[in-house]
Amino acid sequence: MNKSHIRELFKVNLLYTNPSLTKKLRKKGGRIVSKILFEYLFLGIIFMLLYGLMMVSIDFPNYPGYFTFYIGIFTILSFSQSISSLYNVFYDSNDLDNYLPLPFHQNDVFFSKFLSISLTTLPYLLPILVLFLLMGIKSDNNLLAEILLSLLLFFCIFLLILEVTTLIVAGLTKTKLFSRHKSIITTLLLLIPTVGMVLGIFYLNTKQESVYDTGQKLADQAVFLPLLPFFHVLHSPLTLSSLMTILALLILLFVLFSLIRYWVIPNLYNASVGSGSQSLHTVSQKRRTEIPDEGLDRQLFRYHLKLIKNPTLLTQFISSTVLMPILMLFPMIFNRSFSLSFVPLKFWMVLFLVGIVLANMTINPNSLVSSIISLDRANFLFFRSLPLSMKYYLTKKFQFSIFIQITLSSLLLLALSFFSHLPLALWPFLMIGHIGGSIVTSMYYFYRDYRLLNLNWTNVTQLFSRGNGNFMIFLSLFATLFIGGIAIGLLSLIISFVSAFISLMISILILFLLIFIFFIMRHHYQKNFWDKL
Amino acid sequence: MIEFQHVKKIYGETAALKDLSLTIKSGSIFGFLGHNGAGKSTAIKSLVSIVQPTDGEIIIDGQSLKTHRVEIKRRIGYVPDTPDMFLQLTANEYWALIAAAFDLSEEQKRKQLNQLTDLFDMQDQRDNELDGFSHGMRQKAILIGALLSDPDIWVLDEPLQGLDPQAAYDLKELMKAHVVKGKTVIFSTHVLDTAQQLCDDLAILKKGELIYNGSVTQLLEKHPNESLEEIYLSMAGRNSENFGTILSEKRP
Repeated sequence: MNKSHIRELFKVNLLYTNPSLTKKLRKKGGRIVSKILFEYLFLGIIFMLLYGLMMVSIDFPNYPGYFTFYIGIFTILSFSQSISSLYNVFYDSNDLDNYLPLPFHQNDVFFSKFLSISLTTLPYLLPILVLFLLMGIKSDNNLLAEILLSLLLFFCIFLLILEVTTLIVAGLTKTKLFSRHKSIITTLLLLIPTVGMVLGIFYLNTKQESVYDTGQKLADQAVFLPLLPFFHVLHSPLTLSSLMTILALLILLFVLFSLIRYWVIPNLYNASVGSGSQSLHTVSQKRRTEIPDEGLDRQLFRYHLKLIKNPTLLTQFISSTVLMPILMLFPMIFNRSFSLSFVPLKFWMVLFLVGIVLANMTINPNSLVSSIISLDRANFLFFRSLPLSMKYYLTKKFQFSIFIQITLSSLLLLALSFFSHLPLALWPFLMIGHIGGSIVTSMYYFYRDYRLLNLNWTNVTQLFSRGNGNFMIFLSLFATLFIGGIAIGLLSLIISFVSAFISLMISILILFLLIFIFFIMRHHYQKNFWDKL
Repeated sequence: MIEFQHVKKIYGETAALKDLSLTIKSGSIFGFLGHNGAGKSTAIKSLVSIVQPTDGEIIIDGQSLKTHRVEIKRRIGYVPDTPDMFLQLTANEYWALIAAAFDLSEEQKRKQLNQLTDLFDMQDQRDNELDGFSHGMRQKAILIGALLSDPDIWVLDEPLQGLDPQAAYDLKELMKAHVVKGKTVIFSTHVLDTAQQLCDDLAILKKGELIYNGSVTQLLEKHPNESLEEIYLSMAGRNSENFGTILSEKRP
């Protein structure tokens, strides 16, 4: 291996691990690689301190359940991070064939790529090292031996996550299904860890029967059996079962490494070299396809469908839309006692408001409607040159994106209504509020995309960080939650204490007010955006 | 000396190169000519290891590309047909990567970069991302990268595309100066005037087959009173009778 080659390749790959972070840090100027390294180092230290403080009071030798619980959580977090980094570095960067004409050894290229993935995964896994060290310290064994053992086990888990991720991603990309439905599967690949992470943490939390018992003593969590051997190794390292565990772990690591070395890496290389064949094949097949004779509306719809087939875009869109409803849905599914069946019909306006607040929470800069114009890239300018009204074209764009957005979020709201046992009569109010709220919020984000138009992007994440970026997303999310929460709470309180007639009057008044605001907003965007096109 | 020995490249059911055999002399400018899809880029990409031939071998100064891949790559500076690579890097980061690949010392890198960025007027663009460059600027950045290690063999796929007239002229002069030192330039082009002006030898490809390989002078001597364009079109071009038919069909 050539150290200077690996160092330079590592730097390049580090820039690819998180394109939006790279873009953000580049704007600030200075030495970009050092800044990225510092970001991950800082994140690692924060995680170690944060979770270390959380775990330090637990006497882990007496709480195997908690021990396995924490390993589970941090493994899921790291796994999710490594899948996204691996995809970005190996597949999304699409740069393997760029290295081919350069005098790099293939092994150096792959090693540096894995090194950069490791670095981005490490911060999420470091709390496990703290956990192992705490376990070791509290186990009354030789301290030095426990530290060494903790390091060994940590290293094994770290490698195991990287190897398993590599095999899953490589295995999936090798299938015929992947080559046929690349964008859908890649989206799932990026989406599943995100949703899985949320669900996994919730699941582990729900496994906890009761946190505290009556005697103020911490009650242990249910033990997650597959991770229990780690507990035994650190608790009683010199037993036969502990030694066998370490041996089995090392053998497993070796087997997985061999699979990667002799199956995955040569295939990655071949896939890259052979990529030209696919495009040629596709071209020859496409030549035989007849162009359907259909109207402009239908053609634009098909064009927009193709436009959104970007795995990163779909992942961001789906996760930003579904994550919040899923967070609300999950406790309902796992907590059978949760029910909204008692909500009387006079609360229809509250549900209407809930729909609007949810619309505000599900539509943000990561949504389809927030980047659908910029997705056009150079096509947008080309469309301008066509004898086609831009107003018509952008209306079609808006309708398309809002249709997809509302379809997805409405499905989730229906599930939310179903699992929460919300009376059927209230469902339409929730849905209408949601659709109205979605239209107004979408108007804002659609116009925002036009204002901050970026047609030169190379990675779609660049579109998400335009304007005030993630900080404003969180700020507006919390503002919506806060203001919306107060409004919903206040209205519920008033309706609970007044007669049915007065509550109906108040609700109608608010409805008219909201309809008025809706039309004011519509007029605003019509005058400032649509009429100026 | 570079030898293509019975090189074949098959994509699925399509043969991009059919049994290509030719020799490129050291100290010469060699041009690949052909229509789109004729196999020029496949031949070039096979030479720079981007494409693995389905069959056959490429030998460079007695060394097979199959067995001495990295050593041979060290001798080649390559400019691809589309300069859309490493777009997230700044020009400086890109050149640092190339310098590392060719094991250039910091001093060598600095000296070469100063000369080349001056020549191609890229001094002010060093810290900008390739992503934000125009096609021509990217082409210049990639070109600088290719020439950074002062390689023996330049392999340039459509190198003049997108370059401004000054940069195109400078590159052509560089190519001529390079071969005077006994080194080799291989390039592909659609511009026949450029080929006529620069090339010592030519290979004309048509649908993956070699239809001419030899010197430009000999070719012109064989067809007196014809330009290279006319000769090329009569060899590789569309049948002129068909062209006439198409034109007459289009007339009202």
